[in-house]
Amino acid sequence: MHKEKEIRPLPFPPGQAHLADLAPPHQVLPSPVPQAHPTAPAVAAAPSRRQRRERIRAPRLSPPPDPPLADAPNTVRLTPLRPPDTSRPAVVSAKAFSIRYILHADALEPKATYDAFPRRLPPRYLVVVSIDAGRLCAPVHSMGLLVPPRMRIYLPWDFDVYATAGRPRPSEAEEIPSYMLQEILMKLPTKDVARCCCVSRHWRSAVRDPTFRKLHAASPAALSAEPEFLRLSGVPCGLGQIVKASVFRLSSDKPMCTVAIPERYFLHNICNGLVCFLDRDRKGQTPVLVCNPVTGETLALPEAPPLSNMDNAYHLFALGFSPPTNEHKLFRLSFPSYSYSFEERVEVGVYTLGDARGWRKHSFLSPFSPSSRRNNTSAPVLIDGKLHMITRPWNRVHTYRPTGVLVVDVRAETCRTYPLPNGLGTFPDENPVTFELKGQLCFAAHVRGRSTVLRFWVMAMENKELDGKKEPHWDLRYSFCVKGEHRFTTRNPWNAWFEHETLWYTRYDTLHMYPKRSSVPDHGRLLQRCKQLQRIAPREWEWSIHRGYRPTLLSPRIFELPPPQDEIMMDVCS
Amino acid sequence: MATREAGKKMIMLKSPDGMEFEVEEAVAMESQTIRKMIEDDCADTAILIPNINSKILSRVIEYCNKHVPTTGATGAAASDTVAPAALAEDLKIWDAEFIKVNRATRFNLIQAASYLNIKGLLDLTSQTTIDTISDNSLEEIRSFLSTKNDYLPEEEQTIRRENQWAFQ
Repeated sequence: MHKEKEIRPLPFPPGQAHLADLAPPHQVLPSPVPQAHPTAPAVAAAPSRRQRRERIRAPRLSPPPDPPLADAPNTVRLTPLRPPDTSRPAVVSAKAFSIRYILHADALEPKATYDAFPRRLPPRYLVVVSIDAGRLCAPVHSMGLLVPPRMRIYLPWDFDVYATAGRPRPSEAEEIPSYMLQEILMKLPTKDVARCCCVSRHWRSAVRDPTFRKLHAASPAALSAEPEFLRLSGVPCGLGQIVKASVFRLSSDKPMCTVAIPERYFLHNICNGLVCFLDRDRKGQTPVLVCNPVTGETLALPEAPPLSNMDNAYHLFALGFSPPTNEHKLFRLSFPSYSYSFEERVEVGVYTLGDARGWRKHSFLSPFSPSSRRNNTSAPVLIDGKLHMITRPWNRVHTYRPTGVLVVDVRAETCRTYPLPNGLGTFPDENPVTFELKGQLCFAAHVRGRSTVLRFWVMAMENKELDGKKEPHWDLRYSFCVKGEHRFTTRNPWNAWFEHETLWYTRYDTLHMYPKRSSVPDHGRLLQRCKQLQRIAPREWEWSIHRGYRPTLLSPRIFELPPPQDEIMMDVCS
Repeated sequence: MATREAGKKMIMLKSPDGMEFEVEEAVAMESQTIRKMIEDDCADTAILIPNINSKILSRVIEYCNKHVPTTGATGAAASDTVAPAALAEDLKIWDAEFIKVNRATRFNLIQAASYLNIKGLLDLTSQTTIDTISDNSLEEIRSFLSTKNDYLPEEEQTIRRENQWAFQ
């Protein structure tokens, strides 16, 4: 008797009761549904004391049954998580912990779909969840870390969440999954993609995905577009510290965007879809501003480190893009303002956009001096991952004529100088104009003769076996007679470009248009000026025209440093 | 391929609605997803294709049958006897006929091509969508892909204004 009493279990062992209190209610308490079931009358007829107590508590604590589940067991519509900004979290409660679904951007998809395509998994903006009884459960970080049951999810941009378990409902099947939509949009030019924002919310969220934007900006569809022209005009506002700069496409009167930039900044060069604003100061240590006119977003890049051994150095910045590696790099060439020696050392600082390691340093010996942009020199021209800049002699006492083209390979970060066309005969102090013409570098300059002639050469790379290195060949493409005042110096800015088989030519504030009769080299034959087409009134404070723009959706914000920690969209809510 | 028994190894593909399709391994290997499964020896005899119904799956197999390279099983000589240009031309015409389907089927084909990772079919199906987007107005894009415009009128105005440059 004494022994039997010892081994009989206690009705409510203290340890068990303690565990039951801690566990989530749905694991301990029976769900109300089985109790209401007609096949369990015996339990209902003679409930024990414990069961009675549970039945009283059950309806209060257990989650209410979901009506949509009854008629569509496979489809769940979750509460729309659409915070207007990242600061407003959506709270999701967790119940079970099996990883079966992946919430990516705007679609909840079976994990199996992703197992087949591991490359599709974006590193950011990823939540792994499981579905239990039609409820979004147990969000898990993409690194596999299990997070506590109650948590907040910070979502990077606005979207609706549709959770689809198993086979989707036909109406929702009509909505094309965003990764598929993105794959299709990847093959379209930027303009069409931007237009697609207006189709529906779902399409907009697919287009707004920063990862997609970066990939699209490097896609052949975006890079093979015909380069466009931008007109920039600035209006000072406030006390003159800030300039409201409006970026226009040449064909339009309405600005693409208006951004506020510091007063001394000017548009330095264009790198596909990014425009680069630069301070006019000589020290070359103020931050460079990068802007995408499509999105209107700007970003100040990290400042370049100071140079210890060069006090009066000139600086030349250039933003470049390397298509094979999908990298944007900002170069700073620093060099002495003049020298009497044949060669001088050019210090090169390179900053890869988005690289937390900051600036890197190289240097090379150059026979010519790169020209800083202070005296209206043509902007660096980016063609096929290479930046082209005009060089001048180190010794500027005798002549300031352009001497060569410095080519910077953005990917390899190497610099090389190529000679200019033979017998150039340009004006001594003239600023030649360089731009991209059908994928090649075009060099334009006025040539002195009986009358002034504007000539255009195209640089073609030839595989001459000179030391196994490629040598350029200059092809004279066009020449035009220029009437009027014959003074072309660094102080008199001019510009020329081709668009729609027409030569456009600006001097001072006048825009001229010449018809381009044929594309055959036109040696010596002079075309008369057709007529003065348009005069842009200088009512704005300042305007300038820039070429080589290819719109992209790339957000400069993607290069922001340091990456904000709370960008990971989860935060445990206590 | 060379190490494998050249020819007639058959693979069973199952759709979720219970239909079974017996196809040659070379045909099934057009799908990179299935190829990976076969190469990893995950599939002995039957492969369940979870989210593609039998109607779509049969069309996909039809496509793969047509596009399977002739060099594999029947020997390299076969491709030499037929002029490759004429063959390609034939395929193009066949493709154009193949894609003339209703909206729902086309949509399902895109999904299936993406899931099974069949490059040719994915290119074919997405190309029709690309052509639609680049040539047509927003309304036509919406009706082509049966996407509903869920913007409020004023919202759409704002978004249009933001992307105004794309409409010029």
